[in-house]
Amino acid sequence: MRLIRSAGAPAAMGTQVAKLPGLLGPGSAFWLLRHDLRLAGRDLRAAGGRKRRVVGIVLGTAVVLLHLIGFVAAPALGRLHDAHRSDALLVGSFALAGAFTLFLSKAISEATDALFQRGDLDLLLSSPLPMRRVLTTRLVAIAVIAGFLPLLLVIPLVNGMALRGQFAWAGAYPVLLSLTLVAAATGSAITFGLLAFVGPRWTRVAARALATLFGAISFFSTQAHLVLPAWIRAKVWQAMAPMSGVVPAGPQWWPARAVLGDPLPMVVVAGVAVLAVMSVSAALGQAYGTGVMSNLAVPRGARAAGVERRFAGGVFTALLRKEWHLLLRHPGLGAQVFYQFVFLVPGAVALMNLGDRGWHSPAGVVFLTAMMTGRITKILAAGPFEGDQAAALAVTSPVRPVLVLRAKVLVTLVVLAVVGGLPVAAIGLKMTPALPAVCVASVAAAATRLWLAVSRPKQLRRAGLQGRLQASTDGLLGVIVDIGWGIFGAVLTIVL
Amino acid sequence: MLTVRGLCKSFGRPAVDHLDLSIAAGEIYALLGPNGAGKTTTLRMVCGLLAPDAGSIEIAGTDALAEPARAWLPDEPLLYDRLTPLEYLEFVAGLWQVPAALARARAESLLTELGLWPHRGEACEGFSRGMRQKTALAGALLHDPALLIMDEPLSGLDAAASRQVKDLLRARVQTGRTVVLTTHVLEVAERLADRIGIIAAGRMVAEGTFAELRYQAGRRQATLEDVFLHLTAEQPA
Repeated sequence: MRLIRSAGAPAAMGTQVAKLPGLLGPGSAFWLLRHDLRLAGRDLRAAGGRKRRVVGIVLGTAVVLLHLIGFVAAPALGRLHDAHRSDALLVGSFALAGAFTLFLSKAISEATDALFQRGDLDLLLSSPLPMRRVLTTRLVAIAVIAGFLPLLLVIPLVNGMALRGQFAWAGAYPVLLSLTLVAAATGSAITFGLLAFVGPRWTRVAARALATLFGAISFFSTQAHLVLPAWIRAKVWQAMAPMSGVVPAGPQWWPARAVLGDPLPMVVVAGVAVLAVMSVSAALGQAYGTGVMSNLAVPRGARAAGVERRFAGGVFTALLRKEWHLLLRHPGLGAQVFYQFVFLVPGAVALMNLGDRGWHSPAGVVFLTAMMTGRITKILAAGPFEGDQAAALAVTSPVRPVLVLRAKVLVTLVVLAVVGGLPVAAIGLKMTPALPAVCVASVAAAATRLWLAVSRPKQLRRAGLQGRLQASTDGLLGVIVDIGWGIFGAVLTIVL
Repeated sequence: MLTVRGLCKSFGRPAVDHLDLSIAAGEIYALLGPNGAGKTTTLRMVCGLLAPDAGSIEIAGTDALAEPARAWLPDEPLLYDRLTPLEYLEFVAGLWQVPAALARARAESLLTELGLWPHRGEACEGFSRGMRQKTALAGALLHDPALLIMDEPLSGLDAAASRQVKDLLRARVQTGRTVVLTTHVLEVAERLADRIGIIAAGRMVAEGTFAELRYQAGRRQATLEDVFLHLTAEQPA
């Protein structure tokens, strides 16, 4: 037998397998899934006794509480199901659309990670296992991750109702699971599309931005009544009024009908989910393997510049230039900053809209702006202070430590001034009296975050579990500090 | 066993440039070259991990249909930290559809030969680099491949472990298997390889036995290091 591989034709994996594996046997998709589950289970078991107990107690309490809420809400939801089917369909459809965008946001993010992580692909790709089977298990894993938290919140509600004999909403189980699978398949297809159109270097940035956008749409949908101006809200209600009392027809309502227990839509929704996963696996399986390998093989190119300019300017310029380059070339930086804007600016807008309802809206806006400044400073400082892979180089060189520190702080502040200057200027124009408070609170939040980054560098604590626990404790401390300065800014606004 | 014709791969600039390679069954072939010469890219294409831009790769073997032809051992192999060596080999056996009884026997034999049998029940996360490398090698050999492709297989191994691996590879080759490896340790290539290929800037600059390479370089008494430096000195980086 001769295996011949030619240009442009990636390895035809699986052509050499003597016999097809059974549905559950070694080499099957279920077998791979079982392998992934075993690894995940062992990771969980190894996550440390005390922390695992605390997480278990918190999650367990939340699950019990949500079951109780479902138990209490069962009669009302049951009545909605029986007497106001059209309203239930309408509310259900909007809720499912919101949930789907949330799943999609997480799925794009996870698919991007999968595209840029070699992991065990060397082992899997060089085996006769078809890549579509590997991608199928990856898609299921993405679906599980994307749907884990939302499902953790929703399923106990449905369970609580079932405990009271109210099975009308039990269709939520298969529908939500199907939506996570469709989101995983769609998210992966989008990520692969980006890879084909914008190339590996920009895919990561574009995918993160897109994931943030979908997350924001989901978030917006729950806050629309606060964020949207009154005239738009009126128009939306006007458009929806004729739908009330009329049972809507058409396939777009089928997911909601499936949630309410209609058997045919339920079968169709589940079928679409399976079909989506299988088609994406079949169409993109091989591209997944070779795509990851090509992404990892692409050299990170930098623009060529004059050698003379590179070595001119002395110690501080060299330090500054290095920090500047690393910060600007950070793959997820733009998306992370965008993420903060997307989630906090609408909140500020909503608070501004509440001004005429007697709330202390300037105080709320200042609170959010100070918090956002703290968050963004943390993101910007993470590169120079936590991600410095060559920290030992500077420490062991004759350069003064204060110069190293100054370069890191300066670069962080320059970027922060550009990013944070916009909301502060906007507040200055719209709410002039709040300007001193927002400036003081934001500068304080940024300074504290920088001080935390300087005084608690994580470079040497990242390796083990203890390091990770320390990192999460530091993260919590940072959030508390941001909230603290936000409250300070709000109080200062009221006092001034 | 392995024939490569006009192989090309470019990542903006050419990484492998019209490379020809021919390796017979039952030999150890060492692919040498400076950093960035295209060794790993070539091997990754041979294993199907990267699609070539042009050229063809031909792997010939009499039992290739029933028994997959090749195995790949990367320079930094991934082991599942939470699995034991025995569990890892069990997973690899599943990937390659090796019958359970045969897999069990081969796993025991390989782990014993590589000195890992006493550690068969320990999670790989606590293993040294050498132990990880040997576990990955056991995984690569589990399905008894006709062609074993290895990227820097001896890096990180101490003298004893290095000897174990070399003995294992020699034993494989004596049974008609073929080994292709890259290494920066030229002494390893000099002592272990039947034939040596030297590539630079993605092109083959010299190929043959050590004696033939000396002849090509015009240095009859030179070490492989001298020959290598001489042959690659005038190649573009």
